[in-house]
Amino acid sequence: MANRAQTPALRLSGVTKRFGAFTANERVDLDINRGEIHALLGENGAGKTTLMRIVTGLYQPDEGEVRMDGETIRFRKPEHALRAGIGMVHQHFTLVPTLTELQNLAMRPARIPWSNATADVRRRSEEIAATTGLRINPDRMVADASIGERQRLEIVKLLCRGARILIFDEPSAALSPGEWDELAALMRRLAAEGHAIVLISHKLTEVFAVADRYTVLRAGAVVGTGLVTEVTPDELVTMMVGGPVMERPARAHVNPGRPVLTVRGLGVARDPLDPKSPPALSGIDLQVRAGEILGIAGVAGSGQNELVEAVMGIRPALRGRIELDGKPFEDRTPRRFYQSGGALIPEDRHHVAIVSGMTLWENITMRALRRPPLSRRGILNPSAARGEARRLMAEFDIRADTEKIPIGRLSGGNQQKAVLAREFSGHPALLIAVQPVRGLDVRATDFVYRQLSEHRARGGAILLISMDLDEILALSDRIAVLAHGRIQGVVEAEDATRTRIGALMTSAEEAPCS
Amino acid sequence: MGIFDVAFLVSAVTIAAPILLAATGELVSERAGVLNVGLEGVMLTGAFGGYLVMWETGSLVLGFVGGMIAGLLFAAVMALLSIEAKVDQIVSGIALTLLGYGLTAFLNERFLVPARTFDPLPRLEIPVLSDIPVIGPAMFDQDAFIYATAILIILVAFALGRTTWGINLKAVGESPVSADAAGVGIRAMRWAAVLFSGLCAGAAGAYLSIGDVGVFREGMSGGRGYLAIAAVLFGGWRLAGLGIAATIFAVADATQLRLQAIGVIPREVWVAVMILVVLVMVLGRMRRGAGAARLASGRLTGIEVAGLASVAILLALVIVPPSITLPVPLWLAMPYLLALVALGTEGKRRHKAPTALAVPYLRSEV
Repeated sequence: MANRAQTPALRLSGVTKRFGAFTANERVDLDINRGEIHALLGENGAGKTTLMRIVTGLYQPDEGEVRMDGETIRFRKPEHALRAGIGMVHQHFTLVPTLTELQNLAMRPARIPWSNATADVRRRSEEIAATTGLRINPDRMVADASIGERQRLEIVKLLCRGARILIFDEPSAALSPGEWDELAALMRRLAAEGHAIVLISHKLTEVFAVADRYTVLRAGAVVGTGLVTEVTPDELVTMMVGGPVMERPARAHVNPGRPVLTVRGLGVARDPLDPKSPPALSGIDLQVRAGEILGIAGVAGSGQNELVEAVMGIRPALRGRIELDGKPFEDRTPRRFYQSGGALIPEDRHHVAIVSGMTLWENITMRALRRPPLSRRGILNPSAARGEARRLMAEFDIRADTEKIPIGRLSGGNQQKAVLAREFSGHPALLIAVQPVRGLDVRATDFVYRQLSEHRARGGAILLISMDLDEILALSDRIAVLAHGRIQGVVEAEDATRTRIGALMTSAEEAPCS
Repeated sequence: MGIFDVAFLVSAVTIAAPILLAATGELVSERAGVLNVGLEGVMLTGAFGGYLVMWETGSLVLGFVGGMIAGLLFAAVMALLSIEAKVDQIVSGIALTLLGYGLTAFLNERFLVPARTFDPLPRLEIPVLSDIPVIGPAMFDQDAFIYATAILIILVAFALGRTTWGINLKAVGESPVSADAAGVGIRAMRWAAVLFSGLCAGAAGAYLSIGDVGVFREGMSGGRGYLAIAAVLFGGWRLAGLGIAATIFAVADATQLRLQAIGVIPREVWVAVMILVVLVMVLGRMRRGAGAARLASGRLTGIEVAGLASVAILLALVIVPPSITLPVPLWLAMPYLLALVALGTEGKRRHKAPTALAVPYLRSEV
């Protein structure tokens, strides 16, 4: 690369950070050059986040130094890093939904309290639109913007503040394939303009699509760095995990059995309180059979949430019938959904799937607490529940010192395993899995996929909803494409290709009102 | 005109001003995410502080400064508890109010004997404007405090809507994580907002004691601090809403003051209540009609049926006015009763509250 000779935009040398006895980063050396996209890889807990928090001024390193353009820097708070030109696009956006996009850009420490930066920022955002093509909708509320648009705004916000080093933390987690392609092109453009880009990602396909160089962290230390063109995906995975990952067994052929979930003519209004509001779903026909994974492909906001909520009874349906496990499922409530043999892996792990302040065993046994043997005549038997939790911890390989630890203190992978343990322990006929590996590392992802496959092999039915097309293609027996609140088509796995699904996703324009 | 004359309007404005000022401060504090439940205590301390300084110096201006400093100090305690110690804001607020009651009563009895009475703030007549009939004497022949309140509200409206400081303030109350990521100091913003609310409540308290009546009495804020908090909620965390809420409370309070004096409820009170009920019903219908097309269905909701029933009863009362007399404590309770009703009907506004209201901010969870 041509940039090799010059001083790197950011150089970390010997950076060590300890929390008590735990070493989060151990003598990390890292060079980020201007004009390059540098992928930072590693499993959850490998120390990527800590390292980036040091770079962005949230933590101070215990040892080692950070140099920017050759000068040693020491940030005491995030504001200093921002001012120096280091900006981070967080996985969870740092935008205020009740303010307009322009006001979000204008949010910054004000030297003169009564100053008004909005006019200045508006001009600046227009300049950025002219040079990078990143257009914002200045007077729109952020709450009304889509995920992709919010991410764009987040990037504009950093560019407005003069960021020259941009760190993207799992940027594709919430994006549709099309939006990711746009973002990848944008990252290339920014790099070409001389920005330095750091990409934190689990997805190797993305790394190979955009990155120039990579650095792999494991257990807080750098285990490998180099040019992306000189490495294979398998080598990277081996570096990340510390050993080769077993090949997933090829999907066993299972003859689909009786229908487990049947949805006929389901219609749902966008605003649950107002039946006259435009439909979020209309004329949905679906069938998931025993021993089958039905994948729902579609960009975020195509009606996936409404579908799950309507089937579970959280959201009222305007019309349509649902049959669950062979019986009509009317007067839906979440409790009756679980009683009728349903289970759910929700998309939002932190807020819906777990109660992070409660202990691991409480979270695992939550659904079984009403029934014997964990409770008798309404009186709970905590020791039996803890025993059951320990059994499931062993079965599902949940790594925790004790079942009494608050679940919020576990890693994302272990939290998701606990969710799987809870949902599978009821032997459900139907599992609805929404983005089941969101934010998980390689090993945890592999574990979740194996569990889903086993459930299918046992004759369970799975409705898999994901915005990650690769995941849908890898796991599903049949794929239904959801766009604008309608099923645009159902494709058998053998006939499914990215282009065919992608075409169905974008085929229909706005759904006609019915 | 009966009891609803110009003097009634003047007294309503006098009652509304301190509530409005304290509520404006509270609004700023709540937009930054700190629910200052101790407002009642801060107001009472301001009333006492103002009286204390005036008792010593005899100067009205210094008295107001004293009230503001007292409010500032009390608010600083609230800020220390809620922002630094991250104590539950409801609990610390209640504790602060109780402390305010106890402390002022004790100090007043122990040190400020004999009690002195001062002349209240003089009225300043604004030329030309005060000659406008009805509005003139009510709005433009008032004391300096009321003009200052009006100016301050305009300034706050400007600051909230038109400055970077206002954007930062709203961001801190709505999504402190985002504000922090943008480099805005959460603690500094919250401290500033709480101290500002202390200044406002302190000045409002001083107006109650030395500005309006010229004397301090134990517990003289009489729940006005709570009314101010209620006004912020009722007003949907917007300044315009605050104005409506303060108007309702003040009119109710002024009415009950008048009725206390008269004893028997005269006919025009029933007429006024009837007009009010009809107005509220029509407004409610219009607002809902704008969203859904339920207006066309013509069905009545439960609240509307109750409203129509009360209109019928009120109509009967207008035609045959009964001679009802109520004991004074019941009259005193009227504005608070009205506040409850107002909050109950506007319960759905809760969703307009700043998301991080009453939630302490801990950084590490970015």
